Amino acid sequence: MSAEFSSLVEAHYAGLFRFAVSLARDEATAADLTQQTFLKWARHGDQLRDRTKAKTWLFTTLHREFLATRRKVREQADEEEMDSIPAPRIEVGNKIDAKAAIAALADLDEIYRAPVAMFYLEDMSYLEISECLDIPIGTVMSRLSRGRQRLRKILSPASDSHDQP
Amino acid sequence: MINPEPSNPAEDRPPLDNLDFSIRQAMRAIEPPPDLYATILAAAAEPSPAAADELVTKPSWWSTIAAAGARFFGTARGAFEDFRVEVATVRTPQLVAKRLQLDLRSGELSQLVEWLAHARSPRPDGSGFRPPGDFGPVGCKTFQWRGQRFSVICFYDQGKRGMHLFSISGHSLRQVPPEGAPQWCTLGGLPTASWSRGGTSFVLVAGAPGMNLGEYF
Repeated sequence: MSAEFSSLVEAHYAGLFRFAVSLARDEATAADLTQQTFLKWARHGDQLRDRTKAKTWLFTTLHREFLATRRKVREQADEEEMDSIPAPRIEVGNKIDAKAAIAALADLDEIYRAPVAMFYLEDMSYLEISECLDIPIGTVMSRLSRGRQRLRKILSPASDSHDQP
Repeated sequence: MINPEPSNPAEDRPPLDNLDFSIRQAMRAIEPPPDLYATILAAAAEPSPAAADELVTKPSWWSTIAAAGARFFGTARGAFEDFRVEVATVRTPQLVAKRLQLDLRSGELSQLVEWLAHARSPRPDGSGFRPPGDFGPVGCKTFQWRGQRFSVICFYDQGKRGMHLFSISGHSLRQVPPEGAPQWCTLGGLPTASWSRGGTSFVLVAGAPGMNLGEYF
């Protein structure tokens, strides 16, 4: 166990946990995903030559872990229950509750959820999101645009109009 | 409609308005579980099953010779700072999470110190640290770090707040803290105090954030 590892965990565990909550919708699964991601880093992180890419590596790994976990869940159980969790529609103006924001995020189609979460939670650039999710930058831009638009519509339906050109 | 194309090619993320800021603020208000950080460090410190097998089944003659050579030439001595990070961010979370069994449980400090002496382990006799009345010792444990033996005595108060006093021979480390007043620092969110006395170096680690260790010297 190195000081570098402790510093890395300290710097990113909260952000990764929030990202995991936005994907998995529940905190227990999110905590497991976060822990699993750092375990992978502890065992394989030394293979990453460019240490400045550690954050990208962590978010990419967590996203892949989430997809793999969800695949297993779908293989084992009926996904109907998972997808039936309703996300509340909330008209709250500019005061938004954290759980409401996460619930609204969970209501987005999955292709929008990850880029939108990375944008809001980590202030990631198009390029960083593109690297994390391994998709072209143009796709990031369009998914982020549509995802944000839908999220804003859920959280504040009236807000959609002021973005019109 | 939000325009997906940045208005300026130099912009690498879309501009934010008030609603975006509110969404961002709300999402960032989600707090991770208080023990998640410690749990991650404790889990990562445990060897993977494959690595453990390798340690058992493949003793490396080269690494054995190299370690012996390093000890002989004195290059194996670790820095005190690394030791402090190890005990504060790995061993203490493991103890708090009860992932480690104590070698001896006793409410008598003298009994624990005597046992550590018998086990030829560094111990806090005459350390300068005095546990306050509401903290009582519960047990001790010995460890190895880079080939050097060290020990911990755990103290808990009635509210189950913990303090963990680690002792290691100062001769086995580089850059140990000076004798006298403790050095203070927070590692992994836990307050620590470090000092040396009589050739032994000590790290006192609080079991929870926010404890004022200065009261105990």
